[in-house]
Amino acid sequence: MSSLSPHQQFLGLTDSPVSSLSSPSSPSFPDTFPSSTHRNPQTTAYDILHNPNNQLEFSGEKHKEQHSSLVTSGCKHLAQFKKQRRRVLDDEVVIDDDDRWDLFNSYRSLVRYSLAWHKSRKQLQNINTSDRKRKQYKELSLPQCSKCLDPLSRLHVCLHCVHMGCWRKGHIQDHMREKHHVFAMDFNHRTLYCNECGDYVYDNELTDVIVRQETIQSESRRRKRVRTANTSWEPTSQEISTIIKNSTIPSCQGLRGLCNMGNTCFMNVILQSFIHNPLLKAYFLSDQHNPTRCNNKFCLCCEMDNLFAQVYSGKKEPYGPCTFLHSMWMSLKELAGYAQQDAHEFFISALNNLHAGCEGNSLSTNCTCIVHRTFAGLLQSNVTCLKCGNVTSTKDPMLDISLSLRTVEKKKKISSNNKVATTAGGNTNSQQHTNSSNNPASFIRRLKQGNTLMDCLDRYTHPEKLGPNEYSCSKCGNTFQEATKQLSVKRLPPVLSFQLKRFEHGISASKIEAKIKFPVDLDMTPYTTHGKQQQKSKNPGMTTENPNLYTLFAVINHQGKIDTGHYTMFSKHRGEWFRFEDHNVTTTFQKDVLDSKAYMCFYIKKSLEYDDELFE
Amino acid sequence: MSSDSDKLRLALSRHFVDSGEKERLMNLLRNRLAESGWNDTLYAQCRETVRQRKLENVTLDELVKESSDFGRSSVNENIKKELLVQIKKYLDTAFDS
Repeated sequence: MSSLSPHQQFLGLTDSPVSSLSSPSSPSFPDTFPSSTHRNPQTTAYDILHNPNNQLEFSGEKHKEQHSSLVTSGCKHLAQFKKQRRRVLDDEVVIDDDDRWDLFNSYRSLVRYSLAWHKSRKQLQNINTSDRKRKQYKELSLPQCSKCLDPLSRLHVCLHCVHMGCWRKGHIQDHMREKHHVFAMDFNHRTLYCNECGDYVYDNELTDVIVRQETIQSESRRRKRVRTANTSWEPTSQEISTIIKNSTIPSCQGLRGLCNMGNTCFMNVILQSFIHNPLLKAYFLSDQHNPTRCNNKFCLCCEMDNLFAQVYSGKKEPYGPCTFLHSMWMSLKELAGYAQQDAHEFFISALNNLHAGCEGNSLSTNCTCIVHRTFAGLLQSNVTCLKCGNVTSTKDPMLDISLSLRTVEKKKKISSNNKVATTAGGNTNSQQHTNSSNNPASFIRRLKQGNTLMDCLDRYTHPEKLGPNEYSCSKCGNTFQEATKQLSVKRLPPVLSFQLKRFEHGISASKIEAKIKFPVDLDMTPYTTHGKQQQKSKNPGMTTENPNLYTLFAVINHQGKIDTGHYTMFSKHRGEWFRFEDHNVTTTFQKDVLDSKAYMCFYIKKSLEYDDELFE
Repeated sequence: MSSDSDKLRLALSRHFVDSGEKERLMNLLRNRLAESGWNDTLYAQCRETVRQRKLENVTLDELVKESSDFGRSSVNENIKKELLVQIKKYLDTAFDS
């Protein structure tokens, strides 16, 4: 007698989640892991929020009427199954083992299988996957329609029995009708289909407890270094009652306009970029800087804490960050006054002041304040003597990367001299170049004229010849030699900030309006120190999971002339893009964001590692 | 009864999925469509449909059927060409092996 669902037996699974699926007879098959069956359910946020013993006030004033909606299921058929299951769990009802079909177990096994299968196919396409892994992946059987053997046509898996059917030819619907089976899962999207309702149903409990948990588990990477084992937190009933008695669920609406208090749009855009910065948000919303315990005067961290509280207060009308501005003025007298400032300068000053306000900050390069943990990286500068090949490296800390646009501007001047027809955006030659062309001639052309963020980074990290008498080589008897200098990123910060140097100060103050194309997803590998070494040795020994991938979350734009312009910004909030112009917050499309002429861009790492990997 | 071409198509589909090529091309297509803003326009279109018909009256399947024509016709020609080239390349290698 086995308490495994038919799926678990078919797929060779036990209750233990496997990070690499293997058959029970293989030696890598794990045999111990906390059971995921209902006997000891891992308590998730859903379980605490929807505990039937919660008081009504827990859902908050506004949601009293909606309280009932919090506990409904995706559909009434699902509700029925859940009710029955609860009664079995509470031992109110005793059923035969034959009837012991558990929707939760089946769904969990299938979600796990789908995740593992898709991951395996991705890895098979990766040339760096080991042969041993390839063999393991090939062992996973091809999901196919039980009737017509087609692996395409939107496959669905029945939750009640071992049967797969394709959607387009109606095979899964036929099966469900014939056998009176109600639920099926779309194999590719892992969504639940209810045949009685005739539609897909979305259930909070299943999504949180099953889909989300399994997805997180399947994406966690195996690490070489041993860390302390994760212990799950099971709240005691005392803790549960304390939480319920003393808290209400606040709104997760984190959108609020900021009032322009007189040319303060430069500050508003930077503040919005902080508000939508996932790491800063997590730090300040989890009360890690408590103003009641802070003794600093005009402390910017206290102001940030206050700002987040205001933004997440649920109030819709715009907020005026006067106290923040006041504290900034007190810390930096040069900023005081109502003239327009440069947003990037404000950004750097704000970061420095925030760092100063953090407890436990230090002046060394390994400061662990929230500013450095979020923004700090390390830039390496290698100077190579062209005579003896000796390389001297220096490492400099950085909070952001400022990219020069000089060559792009030069290119435009040349084209207009030759009277080449330009498009409205002035992008002529560069449009014909794709980054996939690798021959040296096109690379040099791109290097000189390319107008994408990657081209700017190429220029930034390209070896640059030092002038005569600029470098004296210790190995060549301290004589002046010809040398090249090359920059690369030694350590990448979790949040990568770019400034495109559009403003030239000096005798002729001017602004470069050239449009620089920037991507939604950015791979920084070619610009890292390690990446440059790999390029040189032509060794494609990349790790299969790339920790250098970033995704865009905020863009700052400047319109107008250098001194009389206006700042606006775009930011991503809960998966959607919004445009922020002082007190105006509007929805927008990703395309508009990518089409804009960016002044600053903020990227965040797609997967964050633990500290011990950052400090090599 | 299935003809020879049906059998061939099925065998190809199976190899296509099993080798992971389908997964790879899907990812490529997803990235290209996202870059071109196709996601956004289709999202807006679907939103309109749901708003008109009211959420309770629309099933996912119906939404897909109604939006398919629009979705298919609004894909950039370049993307179609690029995918076709990739598929052709795959077919050449699949027939060789």
